[in-house]
Amino acid sequence: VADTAISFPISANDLTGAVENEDQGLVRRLCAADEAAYVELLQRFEHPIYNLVCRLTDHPEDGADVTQEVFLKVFRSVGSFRGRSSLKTWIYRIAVNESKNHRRSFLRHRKQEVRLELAEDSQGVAEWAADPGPSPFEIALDHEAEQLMELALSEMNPSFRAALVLRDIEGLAYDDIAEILEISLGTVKSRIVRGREALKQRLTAHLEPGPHPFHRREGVVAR
Amino acid sequence: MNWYQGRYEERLANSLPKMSMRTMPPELSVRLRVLASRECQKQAQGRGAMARVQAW
Repeated sequence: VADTAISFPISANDLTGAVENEDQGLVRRLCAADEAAYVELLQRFEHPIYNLVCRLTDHPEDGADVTQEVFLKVFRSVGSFRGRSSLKTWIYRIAVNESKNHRRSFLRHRKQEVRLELAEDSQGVAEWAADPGPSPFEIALDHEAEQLMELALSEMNPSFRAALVLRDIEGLAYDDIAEILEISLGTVKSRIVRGREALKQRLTAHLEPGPHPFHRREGVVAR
Repeated sequence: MNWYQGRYEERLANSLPKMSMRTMPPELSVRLRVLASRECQKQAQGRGAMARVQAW
């Protein structure tokens, strides 16, 4: 992804300073129990954190619960925020760790549970409701591409997935990712490269032509 | 891998940075605001208690 150059005369330091001041002001108001600051924090971060968490947990349907846990931790520990990183980096780190904890807890306790909801690929009423109109080919293709990408991402090693989502979807800088994941810059770069490679392999696997339904029936013997 | 498949992969790889935002369930937004209000009150109570301790 090409980094966008800022054309107007603001130096990178000015910009970082402005963000820091904004962060510090918001944190000060949060610590002072200013309710408007709590709402402002939610407005800034609820959508990106929900998206991040849905992509990092293996079960996006639990994204709402994990997002709530993230904000509970943010509200309760905002007093310990020292401004060594940006507020965004600090909140993203909490979200990554919470997603990791959720995956571990799911593997430990909930693997045996049977869901009573609709099957994942079922659209419910949308399956039989009338289509309001023909959808353009490009929209359909993009939608399919996105579904394939989400599927391929969800099947990846969680460590590679986290690095790839933060870099290629969230567009964060390498050093911010290193801070969020609490790993070295070299490890970040290596995980991104290996993640992209893994994603490519997954996509290739999903694009392999499967057996034709007619051919599959050949082996079935009527009883 | 045939030509079409190669082009399709390229298209998918290019779409990664443009993945659409998932729509957040409206009830989550409500839950988060209730949580924020509750935590804010707790924070205010904590600050009040601290001020009283300091006043003693």
